Amino acid sequence: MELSLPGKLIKRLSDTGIKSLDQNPLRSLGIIILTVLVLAAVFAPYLAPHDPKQTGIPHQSPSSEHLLGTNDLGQDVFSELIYGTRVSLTIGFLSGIISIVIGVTVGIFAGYFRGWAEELLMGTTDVFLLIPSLPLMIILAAYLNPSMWNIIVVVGLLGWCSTARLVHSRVLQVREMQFIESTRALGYSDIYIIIRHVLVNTKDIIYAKFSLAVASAMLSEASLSFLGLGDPLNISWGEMIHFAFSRGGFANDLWWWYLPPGLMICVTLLAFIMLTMEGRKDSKILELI
Amino acid sequence: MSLAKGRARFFAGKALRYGITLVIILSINFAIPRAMPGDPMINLLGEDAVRVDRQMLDELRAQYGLDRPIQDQYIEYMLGAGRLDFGYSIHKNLKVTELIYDRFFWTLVLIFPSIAIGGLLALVLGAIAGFRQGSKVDRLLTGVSIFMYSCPSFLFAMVIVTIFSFHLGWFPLGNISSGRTQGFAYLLDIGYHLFLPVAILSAFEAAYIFLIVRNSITQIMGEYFIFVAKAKGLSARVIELRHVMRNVLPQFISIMALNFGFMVSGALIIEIVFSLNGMGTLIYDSVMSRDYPVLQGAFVFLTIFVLAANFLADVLYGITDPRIGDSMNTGKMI
Amino acid sequence: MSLLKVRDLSVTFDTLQGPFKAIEGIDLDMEELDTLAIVGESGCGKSVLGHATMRLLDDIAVVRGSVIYRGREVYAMSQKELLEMRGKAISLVPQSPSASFNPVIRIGKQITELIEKAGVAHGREAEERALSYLDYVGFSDPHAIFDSYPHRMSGGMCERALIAMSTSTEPDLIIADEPTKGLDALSRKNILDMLQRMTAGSSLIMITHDLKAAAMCKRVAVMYSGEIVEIGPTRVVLEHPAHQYTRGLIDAQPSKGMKPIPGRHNISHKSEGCRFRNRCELVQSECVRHPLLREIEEGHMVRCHYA
Ligand SMILES: Nc1ncnc2c1ncn2[C@@H]1O[C@H](COP(=O)(O)OP(=O)(O)OP(=O)(O)O)[C@@H](O)[C@H]1O
Ligand SMILES: [Mg+2]
Repeated sequence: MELSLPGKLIKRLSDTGIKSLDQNPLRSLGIIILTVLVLAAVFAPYLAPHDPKQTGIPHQSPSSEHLLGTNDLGQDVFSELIYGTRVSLTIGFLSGIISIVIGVTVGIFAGYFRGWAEELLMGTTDVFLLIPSLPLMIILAAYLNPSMWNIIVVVGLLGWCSTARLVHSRVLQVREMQFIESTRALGYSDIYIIIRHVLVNTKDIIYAKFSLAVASAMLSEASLSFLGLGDPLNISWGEMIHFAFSRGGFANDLWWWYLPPGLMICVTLLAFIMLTMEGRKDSKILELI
Repeated sequence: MSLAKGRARFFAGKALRYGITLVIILSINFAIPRAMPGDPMINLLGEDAVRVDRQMLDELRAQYGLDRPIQDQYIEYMLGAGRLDFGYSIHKNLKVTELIYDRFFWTLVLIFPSIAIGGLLALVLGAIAGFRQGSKVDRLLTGVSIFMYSCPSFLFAMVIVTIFSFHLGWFPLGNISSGRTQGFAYLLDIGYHLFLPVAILSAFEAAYIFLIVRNSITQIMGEYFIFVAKAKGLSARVIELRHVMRNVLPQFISIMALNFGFMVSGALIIEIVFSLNGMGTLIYDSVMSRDYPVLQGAFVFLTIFVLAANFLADVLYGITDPRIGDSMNTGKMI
Repeated sequence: MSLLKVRDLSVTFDTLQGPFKAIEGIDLDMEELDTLAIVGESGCGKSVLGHATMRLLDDIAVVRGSVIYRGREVYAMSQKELLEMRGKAISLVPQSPSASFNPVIRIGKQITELIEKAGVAHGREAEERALSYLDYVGFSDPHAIFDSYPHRMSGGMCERALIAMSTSTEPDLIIADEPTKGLDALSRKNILDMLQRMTAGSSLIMITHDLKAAAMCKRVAVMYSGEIVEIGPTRVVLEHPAHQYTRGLIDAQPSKGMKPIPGRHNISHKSEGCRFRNRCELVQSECVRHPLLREIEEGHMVRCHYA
């Protein structure tokens, strides 16, 4: 039977989908989970059964009306969870972007230009790598107004060091490749070579590292929010746990209040890690962590 | 140049690096409250500064030298830092240093056993998995480690506390000791109270280091000298223990050191969940009351601690790897 | 009884691109105190043959045929027998000297551990033995070498130390994989003289690119694309080569003006017929049939229809 063009297209898409699922089941699973989460974040108002800010009877255990019960103000935990996806993913993505852009820039410039620029940039990276990041994030976040944007900046600005190191060592290898030398000899500008050759040859680790950078940004955000430094207007998963912890949910064993956001953090992080897995091997992530 | 002399130079270079790092960190700490938005007075003294009377405020202002030029303030601050003086907590009515000394001890009591246990566990499990790459044990251990890696420490701790303290009632919560006993019984009591927190922290340390050790073993097993060792007819045991693990050691030490900061962060969070009286709870309280001097002091203390640990690790690394600091080092860069 | 008998040995690697035949149909005989040189272009399977002889290939290699050492099948040995044989009965001088020593263990210790493992000597005595072998291979200060780490030694020094190590157990057979690789002319000569001295009491299989080095062996085997194409007494093979490839190798020597063999060594070219025919100037119609190794005179065998 002849398939129509859209039919063929769908068949082709599903074929490649099945093929990649077969060859790389973990990465495919990661993609599926993240797609679902992004959809949940985008369509939160349609998916959430209640307005997460609306108060009601507190401390209700899960029921068909409140799938994950209610918190101490009687707000629907399930709806809060869905809206929390927005906040957590946004912070993770944006912080991840900030840290990857800084890290890649530092790594490439240090590795490509060598000399004093390398000394300075990698020296700075080493200093930052030595500072325990959570205490420093805590201080910065404590001084700034508790807002989502401030958290994004703080987490992003302190998370780039490992990326810089990784990219730096890869650029050192790429630099040794024969064709880079010959391109330089041909008189191409450094910027051209960096964009056309160096970046191209480092992009695989940059993609993978971005995925892990988002994961680690989400973890930092969760820790800051858990400590009560989150944005009270945009409640993330970490902040839900903070409220459960500081307003008696944990002490009174109201598991439906703190466990679901916690599991969401785990699942999302796992999905980001799965994205970096290649084939049936897991060696990639081990090099990047 | 002799090996010993090369080594000495290597260590001196390291010491210089750490010294510079320390100065940078202290400077960052000096700059933050002055650069952040808001009243620098409050940024330096904490939010409780608005409650104290004018006279005391003036005194403190003079002490911090806020009326003097910035370079004088910097010198004053550095001199204070040299004496480990980080000002005064109006909120707690105590000198920051005193406040920290007391708490820091208990954080160390939490961190050191966790690092030792976690590191040892990682080495053993990493070896088991690394030498049986692809086996069931390997996949199980790797899977668990990756899961731990993606699990926030506070969530893990909360679940453990719920199960073992709330439901089963096996372990106590909230204090470091029951405070009644003495001598050996006192130590046992502390061990009992710290069992769960140390176990959790060790598990986090082990999970991360495990991944590194396993990876490092894989890489070393592929080296040519391992093939040569096989050609010599050495048994698998000898190759694994003498030739592979001996090569893992330097990498293991340096990753343990790099992970120190992460362990400090983990310890802070876990103290809070278990409400143990350490730096974590101190920081938590100070965040709540915006007690900035304490936050800053805590940051500097923790950072110095991490720096010291890293310096020690660098020295150990230099001792375990003969290539370090050898001016006759022909090939490989370290 | 001959020392080593290799029969119809072939090795196939299970690679991502599919199976790859590295060597095929190798027959070899070594007597006591025999010496054999194996020559051939890079990638023709010399090292694989050496490793297969000691059953050193990893799991992705499928080995067929048999290797019989003193009447015992190497591929039927227990793990224990195998470990005993390696380093004691058959010893390998590996190909990359600088990468062959463990970087964090002193040279002396690495030699001593082999001597002890082979049960030749123990403790102080083993150390003494290691020191004397370091002396034999020509180090002026054996104690310093004994105590030094590999990163302090040059490639040539590592090669010497490797030879000291491999000979220190007085093995029956030494397989030396390109012992002169990457050395200047003078050191090459030194190493060869020393190797000849050190292996006087053993059989030697020397893998090399260097026909001058091959000249110190009684026999020479020429390999091409995983097969032996010519084997015979060294004088005969080098002076009256019967295979066109051997002639090419001889002409390609620096002393003969480095005339290159036309065409490229296509290692994955495993089609029917003579594997050398796409590069052979004398190619004829028969060459599409795979030639067998046949004896053209006493002890001189060639894999060519027209030799
Ligand atoms: N572990 C392996 N997996 C796949 N292929 C291999 C492996 N080891 C060797 N080969 C292939 O077998 C062929 C023969 O390799 P071998 O190392 O024996 O060459 P060689 O003759 O020793 O060359 P050289 O003179 O460069 O040392 C090569 O084409 C190589 O690619
Ligand atoms: Mg070879």
